[in-house]
Amino acid sequence: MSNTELRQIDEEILQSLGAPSWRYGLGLAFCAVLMLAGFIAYGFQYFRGMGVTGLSIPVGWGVYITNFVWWIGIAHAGTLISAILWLFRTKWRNRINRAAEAMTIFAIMTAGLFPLVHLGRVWVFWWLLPYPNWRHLWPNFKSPLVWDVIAVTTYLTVSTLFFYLGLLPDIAAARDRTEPGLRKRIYTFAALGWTGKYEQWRHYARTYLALAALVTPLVISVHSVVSWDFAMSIVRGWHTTIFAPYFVAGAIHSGLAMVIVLLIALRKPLRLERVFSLYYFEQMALLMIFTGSIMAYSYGVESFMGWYSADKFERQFDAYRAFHSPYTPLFWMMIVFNVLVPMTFFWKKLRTNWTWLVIAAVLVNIGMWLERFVIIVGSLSHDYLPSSWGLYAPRLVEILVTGFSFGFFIFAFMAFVKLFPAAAMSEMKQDELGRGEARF
Amino acid sequence: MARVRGIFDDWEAFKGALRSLKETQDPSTGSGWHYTAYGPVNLQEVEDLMPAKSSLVRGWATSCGIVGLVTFFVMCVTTSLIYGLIVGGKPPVSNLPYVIPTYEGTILFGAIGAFIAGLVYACVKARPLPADYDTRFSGDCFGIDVDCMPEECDRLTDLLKNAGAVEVYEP
Repeated sequence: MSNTELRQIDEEILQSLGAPSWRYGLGLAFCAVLMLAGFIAYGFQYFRGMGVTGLSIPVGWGVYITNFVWWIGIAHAGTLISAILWLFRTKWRNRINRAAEAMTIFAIMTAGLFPLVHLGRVWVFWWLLPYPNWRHLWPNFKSPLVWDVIAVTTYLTVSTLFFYLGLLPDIAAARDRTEPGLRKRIYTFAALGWTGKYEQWRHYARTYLALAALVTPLVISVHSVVSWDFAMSIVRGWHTTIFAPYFVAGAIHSGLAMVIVLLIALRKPLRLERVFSLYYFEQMALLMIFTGSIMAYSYGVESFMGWYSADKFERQFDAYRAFHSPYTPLFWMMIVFNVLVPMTFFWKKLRTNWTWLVIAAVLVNIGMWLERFVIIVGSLSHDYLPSSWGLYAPRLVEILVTGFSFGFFIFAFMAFVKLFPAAAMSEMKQDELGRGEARF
Repeated sequence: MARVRGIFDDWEAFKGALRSLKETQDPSTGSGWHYTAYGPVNLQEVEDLMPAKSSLVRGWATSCGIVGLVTFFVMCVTTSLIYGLIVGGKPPVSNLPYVIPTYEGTILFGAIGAFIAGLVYACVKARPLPADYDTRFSGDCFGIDVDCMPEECDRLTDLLKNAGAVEVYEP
């Protein structure tokens, strides 16, 4: 192995940090417009109150909480790819893990906005934080909502540490190949004096392993905790033990779909076609067959348990959701998009077709959003008492705030790929050397 | 004390040089040249060919994790006693629900501990790079630094060149 291949990797990845094209600027401008519209909409809600949304009795949780759960789910694929697949020594994750990790962090940040937006009185959000305030009032640690705060902030913190650690050698490589200027100064500061010395690698490897080992159970727990926001209540359609694994599998399902969409979208503008080649997307598509199968099983078990419980409310609710509800079309779209669409990846012709990969991934993302919507809104709208039934539809404010989240997420991701290497160069070099992972 | 640095652009040659240096070590007495390596990747073979050393990062991760476990559990219990609200008929101190914050706290503290320990032990500090740092080590080359007596420099230069070093110099 000569150093030509290693040099090519550096050149190929670092060229993507060059001057952006007009298309890139247009993309950023589009995101800025989305953010501005959402910000104005939120300002309207802030001053006028929650009445400007479609939220009311009995549906007190709507699009905002749907978005929160969906964005948290999107975050999960990054950790799956970067930590879990790394622990299993899955080689193909080495090219896509960096972008997936970045996606994780921006998705958690985006998700974290929605509970604040949903609070209504956002200025008292700090009542959720555990601190000894002057009122001697502490959060109720028996509440799943407080678990959620702790789980999501922990997830954001640990994911960020894991991401930054993995980035260190690549920042150093960028630092050493950048002309003097502001960018070089930023890289020099961020690289923390990385020299590639053996002693540094030794501690780096142990730290990476420790963080990967810690973030793996964390990723499972975070979406389990999110699912318990629902499952701990006695609302029918929510109160079921399958929710935790069901939510975790769904999260990874939607996250993988988002990684596919993002990487396909950026590979050409950044001229990274060779780095993000079809092989890696095919592997993700195969993984989506697996997660799609878990979703199919979960949907089946959920309905079966509704029937098998012999609980007339559960049985009635299952029938209502599938056949008589105003949300029934959404329910069947969810089934088709989350289960049937990924199964098309069994055909090599389809999973190696760029157009179909994008279409299928977008459909899965829509399907997973609908799943959250059907679970949250469907259950709340059809309670035990017919007298308390009621429907919900999102209003313009909620739609614009949702648009803000997409603008924010895409803006952050686009900024990242222009500031830092979008693929893990040191791990790609490791692959090129064909030596496998270090022994830790 | 002098230092000789060999630069390698070939992975196998780099390993060969490390192997030659390892063979000069006497495991029983620990005598021999002190050497270290540089490179853009971290690989098993390099670790095997380097003087054996352990890392305390995992120890710190475990210790901090235990601190997080205790801290979060105690926080849940003591705050419940300060503010003894009875929720859902449960006593103010309900151990089972506290497993969740405790679990998250264990991971949070463990991860922060591992991260800080990793940075501290790796001597990664935001300060100017060493004057003798070679930027090729973060790109496409591997390097070996060997500390030796001044009269041994020629012998070491030969050893590194014979192993395939493309460049040998005294930094």
